[in-house]
Amino acid sequence: MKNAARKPRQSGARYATAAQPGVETAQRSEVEQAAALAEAVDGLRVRHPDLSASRVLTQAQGLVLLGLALACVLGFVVAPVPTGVLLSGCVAAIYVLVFVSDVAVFRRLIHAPHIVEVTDEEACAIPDNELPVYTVMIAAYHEPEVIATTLRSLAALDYPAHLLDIKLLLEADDEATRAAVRAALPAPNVDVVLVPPSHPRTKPKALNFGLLRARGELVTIYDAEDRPEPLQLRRAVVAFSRAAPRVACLQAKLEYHNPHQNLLTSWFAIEYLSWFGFALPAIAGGDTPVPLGGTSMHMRRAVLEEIGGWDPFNVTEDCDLGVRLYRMGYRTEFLNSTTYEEANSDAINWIKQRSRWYKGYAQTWLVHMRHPRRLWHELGGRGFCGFNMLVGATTLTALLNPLFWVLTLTWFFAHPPFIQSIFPTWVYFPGLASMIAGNFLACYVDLIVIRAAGRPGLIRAALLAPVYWLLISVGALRAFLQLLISPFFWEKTAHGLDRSQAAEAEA
Amino acid sequence: MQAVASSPRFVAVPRRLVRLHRPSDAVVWFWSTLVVYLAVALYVTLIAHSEGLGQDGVSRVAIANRILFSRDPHLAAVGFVWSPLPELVLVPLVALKSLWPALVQEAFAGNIISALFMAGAAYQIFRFLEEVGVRRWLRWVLTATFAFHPMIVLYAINSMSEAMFIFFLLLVARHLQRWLRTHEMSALASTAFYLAALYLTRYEAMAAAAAVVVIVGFATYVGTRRPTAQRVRATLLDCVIVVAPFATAFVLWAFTSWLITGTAFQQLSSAYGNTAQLQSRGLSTSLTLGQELGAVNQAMHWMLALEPFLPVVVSACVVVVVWRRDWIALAAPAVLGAVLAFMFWAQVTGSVLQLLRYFIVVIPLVILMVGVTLARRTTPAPTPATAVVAGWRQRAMKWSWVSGRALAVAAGVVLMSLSIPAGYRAVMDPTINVGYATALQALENRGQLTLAERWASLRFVTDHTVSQYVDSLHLARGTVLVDDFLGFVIVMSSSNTEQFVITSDRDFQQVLADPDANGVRYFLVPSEQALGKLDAINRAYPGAYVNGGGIGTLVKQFNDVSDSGTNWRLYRTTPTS
Repeated sequence: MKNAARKPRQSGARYATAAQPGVETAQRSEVEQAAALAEAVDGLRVRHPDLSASRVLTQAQGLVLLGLALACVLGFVVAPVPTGVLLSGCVAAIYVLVFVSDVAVFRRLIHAPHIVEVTDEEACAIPDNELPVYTVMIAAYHEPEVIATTLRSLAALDYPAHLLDIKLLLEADDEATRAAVRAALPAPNVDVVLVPPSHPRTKPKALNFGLLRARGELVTIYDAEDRPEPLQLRRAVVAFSRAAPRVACLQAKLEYHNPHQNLLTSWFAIEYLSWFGFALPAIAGGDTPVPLGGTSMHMRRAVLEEIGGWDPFNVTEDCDLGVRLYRMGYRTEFLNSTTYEEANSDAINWIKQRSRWYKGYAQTWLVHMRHPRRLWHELGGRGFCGFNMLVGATTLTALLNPLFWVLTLTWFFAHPPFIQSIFPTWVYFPGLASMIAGNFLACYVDLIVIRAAGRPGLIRAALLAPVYWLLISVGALRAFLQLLISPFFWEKTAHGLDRSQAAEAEA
Repeated sequence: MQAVASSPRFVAVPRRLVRLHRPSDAVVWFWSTLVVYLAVALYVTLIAHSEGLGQDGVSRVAIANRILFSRDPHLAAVGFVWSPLPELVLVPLVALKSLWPALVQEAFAGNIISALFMAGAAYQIFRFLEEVGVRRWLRWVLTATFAFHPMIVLYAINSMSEAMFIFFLLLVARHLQRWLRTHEMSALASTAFYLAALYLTRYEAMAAAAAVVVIVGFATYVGTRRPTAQRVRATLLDCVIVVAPFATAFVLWAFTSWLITGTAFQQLSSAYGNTAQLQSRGLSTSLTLGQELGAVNQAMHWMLALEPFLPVVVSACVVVVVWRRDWIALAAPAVLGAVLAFMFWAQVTGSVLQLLRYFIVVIPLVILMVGVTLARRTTPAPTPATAVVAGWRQRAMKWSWVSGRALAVAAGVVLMSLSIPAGYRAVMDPTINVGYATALQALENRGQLTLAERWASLRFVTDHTVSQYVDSLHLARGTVLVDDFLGFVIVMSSSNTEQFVITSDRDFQQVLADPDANGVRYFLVPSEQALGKLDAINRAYPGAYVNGGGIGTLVKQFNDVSDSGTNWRLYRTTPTS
């Protein structure tokens, strides 16, 4: 009995929400507005200063880093070869550890990691009166082209309109998007929230602002260009009802609807298939904190409020949130329901997005490593190592990879003696072995993933993946420079570059 | 009896508790065969000192030894003529040399490794039979006929790479079969990685890889219900997944070889490779038709000597598979069959030496096929043919008091138990098990040996004598030049390995060009028959064995006392002007 094709209800008019349907609701008093804004910006910073990325480095971290840098400089002046050996040894050790943890993840990954399944029948079987109020938040900034499509995707969600509390979070000074929203005539249950202009101008700040008004027992967020699967909310409700109380978050799968637009989108699509469908569930299976996706993460609102909401100063607030959840004793599971997004098809735009991610990863790592011993205590040994591998080492190796490729190539073609002197056998062999085996494994995972996901058409991109890694490293390098120069600057990713989607939107 | 004991009705103890403490049957097989193999190996190597059984296995220990303990220890000393894995797994054991010198000096490390892998192979056989649905008692019988087949025992104890090869080959076959039945990604990935390990063990793995790719491609193409273009892509993807680790191992190994030695495929082109070895023995690599027919005859003869019931088993297996229309059951035997066919072809075309061990795969192949034939499987899909046969069977049942199935099982058990004495005859026959049978007979007739038997059991005695003599000179580091292609036992059994300059040393060519100027005081050369012609010193200085080749004066001659035919001479270098 397939009744998946239930018509989404369009009867919102009967259940008029507290807000004026489809009308911008910035009509609260100035005092209230200012208080809400202060809470959205400073809530986490005031309550948990140790968990806020508003400071990039603590004093102690700064001193340690400075000390290390000085020691390196001094070492290179006094005893260059032993210092070089020590550094290359440390880096080789990191690579070997990363490889070992990759193998562990790979082993879990090929054995079909745990993903919560809710069938169409089960999702539809819940009577409406047992469904909780669900808040769906969409933060949109400079997205006038896609906002109409967004509203249509939201209307397609199969959830009773009176229980669906949609918050469309717009920046008050973003006239173009506001106009586009007015023109699109949003459904009555869409509550357009205007976020007063203030710094930092980031998505997590807008989300915090929206959260203050959220009515739902469950909360989810989507990006402006997302197309969630219509039954996703119902599936999440069922999954939450079955899950242990400490499961506070369900991350749905993210996939791209334009994998075949160009090679870049194919690579990106493989990466997402792998990340949300396999790697993250496999990592979570190893009792390790996992970063969340920036969209389609479904949470219990009480927990979200308890842990302090999003960190407006972290440019990958999703990654930070995943780790913070885990630290406070909550767990994330993965839901077999897909949200389609638009893959970035333009290399420059892609690099900007990637460097924001890496910058955020670095921020997240620095925030949570402020008190390593406390982190170890909260995450446990495995969780601590997993966090360092996933959030710390991923960023670091992306940054170091090109350096080592250059060193390897230089060695092959020129045999300069300084390379030999800083790579003694015991550094060189483990390093070389983990480089070869690690790169092979990374490629192989892509092949396995596209096979398991039933997307053999992506095979060409999977085999060309090493070129993609080069782009990733460019992003990481840019992130590193930005972290030094402007740590909180949120690099906006342009959407609507997918021509098919643009055409569809026009139609 | 087993069935009663494990049936819940008769068990009072909570079963889960019992399970927790009792290892699975397959694990029992692993440990018990390991103990048996190690005991035999201990007797043969350390008590009876029978040296004729090791051969290549001993040289692998020598290679692992030179990786760690030579004058110039480095990983590349593993050499690039043969696959590296059999040597590399020895390295950790050889590292314990100082704790137990016999590990290296008697090459016992090699025996331990081959025993481990053959016990692992017995485990794999058992697991395979379990997975195809063979009854428990029959699993025990079939695993026993594998594990205690004389040829298998011989290769479990003689430190050759056959054990490792069979182990990985069975893993490949098992996981391929599992993938075909379940389509689990883990099974396909396991098949792929074990195939790579197989390649790094022995080059015959290429045949297995070809078979696996064909089977996987065929299965995916037939099994995918999609438009042709997508079907082709899915097929391509599965083939790439299953062959990628193998191909990577292949390319990396060739690339490393090229980087270090300048040639990608040393086994073909090296002065010590397969081709050179064949030529040095006066064997042509291209045979006449008459010779080819002779080789076919001999290969058939040898396979039947190891497994006399091969034709019966193959026909029974094919009939049963066709009757059940269960083509997947043929996959695992096909992989082993491909390797066997490849070796058959290599023998017939004269590409490799004619040795019984190249046919060892026939033993696990027969066991797998018997297992597939006698497995309890679901009833076949009805076809006109099966209906006719079912009718015959019903009529036959009226006349017989035992079921056809019981008869088949009984026949299988009898045939398999007969294969052990047959295998024993083959292994002990010097015309079949060339090179080993004499050493085995020597072992059997200790005390009253024929000349040939004594020679065989003394295979490396000359080398040990040379080694002891050189050690007694108390020479400094890097003063004795020797090509360890033939001199590996001399170097390996020496208590001062650093005195030798050996082929794997990175300055070997430089030292060889002018030994005296590079601190060499002595050099050792083998007589120039057979493989002695390939010795680096003999090649660099023609006449080196006969008269010192103009660079040395004779110090001592060591005459061969075994059947290897290699005499050694120790020369003192003469200063060059």
